[in-house]
Amino acid sequence: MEPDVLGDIEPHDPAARDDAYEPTSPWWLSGTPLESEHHRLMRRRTVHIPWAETTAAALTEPERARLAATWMRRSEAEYLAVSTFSVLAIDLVAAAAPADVLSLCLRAGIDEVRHAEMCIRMAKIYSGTEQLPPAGMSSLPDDPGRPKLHQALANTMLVSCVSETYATTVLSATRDLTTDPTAQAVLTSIYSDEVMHARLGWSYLRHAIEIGGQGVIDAAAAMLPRALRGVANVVEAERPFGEVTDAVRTHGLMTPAEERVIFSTCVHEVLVPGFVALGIPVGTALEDYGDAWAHAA
Amino acid sequence: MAKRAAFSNTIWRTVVFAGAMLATPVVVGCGGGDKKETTIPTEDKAAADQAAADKAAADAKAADDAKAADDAKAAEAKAAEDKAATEAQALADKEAADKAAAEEAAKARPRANTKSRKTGRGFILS
Repeated sequence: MEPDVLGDIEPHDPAARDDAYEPTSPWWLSGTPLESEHHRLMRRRTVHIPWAETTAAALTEPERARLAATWMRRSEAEYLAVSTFSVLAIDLVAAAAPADVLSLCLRAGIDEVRHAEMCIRMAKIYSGTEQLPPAGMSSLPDDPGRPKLHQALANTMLVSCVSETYATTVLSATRDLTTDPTAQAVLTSIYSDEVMHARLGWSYLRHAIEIGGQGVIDAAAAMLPRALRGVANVVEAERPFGEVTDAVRTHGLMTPAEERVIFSTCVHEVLVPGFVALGIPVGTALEDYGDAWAHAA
Repeated sequence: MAKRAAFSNTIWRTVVFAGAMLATPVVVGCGGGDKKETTIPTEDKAAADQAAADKAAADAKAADDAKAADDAKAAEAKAAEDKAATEAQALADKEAADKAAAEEAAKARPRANTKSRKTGRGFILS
């Protein structure tokens, strides 16, 4: 059964499988016996993707080009996020993080592989070409002068509490506009994973504050403006050429202006209240990403 | 606070509130921090000192009564003292080595410095 993403979604059902699973992007695989185990891992998801039900054929050529470019950029971001969670796992191990935090962090990396596969297949649907995301490796702040708990906490906050929580809000809002069944299922699948990726951060933040005290709170407060700025940079970045028509919107796109409003709303209604509830000073976050920023585009 | 947007409300409940367990109060630092050394209350220490003095007097009297036994005890005590000193030194050496190792581990980077790389931020919209 498809989860209700606008209600109390269950991010993961460990026993759930997509029985109708088909290899998502076979042109991206190694051609070795690893493929069967890869498919076993990828099949473990609750949302079936109806690839054949795409309505891409009804779009104009410029609309398909716009969507292909966006889904390709999404695949790049998802692919890069594989290494983000890998690097974060190193920080967490160095800080002696609990086993459940580690396992969920590493599973998040596997989820990002699946997301990247889905995104390049979406790109192929619109472009007709089988592309691969470019190689890349993520970087997270690495300060040798501070305790490892503080570094792990600060980077978890950047990656999970801020970036992934924002991702859940933008995915939720985007999915609201999406009527193409394939795009909607892909967004739902990604969203259901991102909920847990974000929750991982908030749980570890709570755990770290309770074991590490004021030093953790100070480290979190210091990271907050940097984390928010990092996401804001992505929101403010230039987008692929092409108009976001009404038809394009039904395939899972918003305009940059709409995304600014969503980020501002996320800061005001989700992120800041969460940090305040945990006793973390938020500085000028509300002013920095208020109405003026939201409507600056 | 004003009513949240529908998507914000969902994320607030399913991600932040549930993840950070905000239904229960946060107790800052309840599981961490340096534990203080156990201190001996003054009255107990005085009593302990007195007991030690009594025991020393009793030992001296016993020594007067049995010199041979006293010599043996003295030798035994010295051996024990030497052994304790050796063990204490070994312990001190080990603690120093452990501390040095911990400091070295703290200096070691968990990963390489990668300032020139991008930071992956998960899903992007468009």
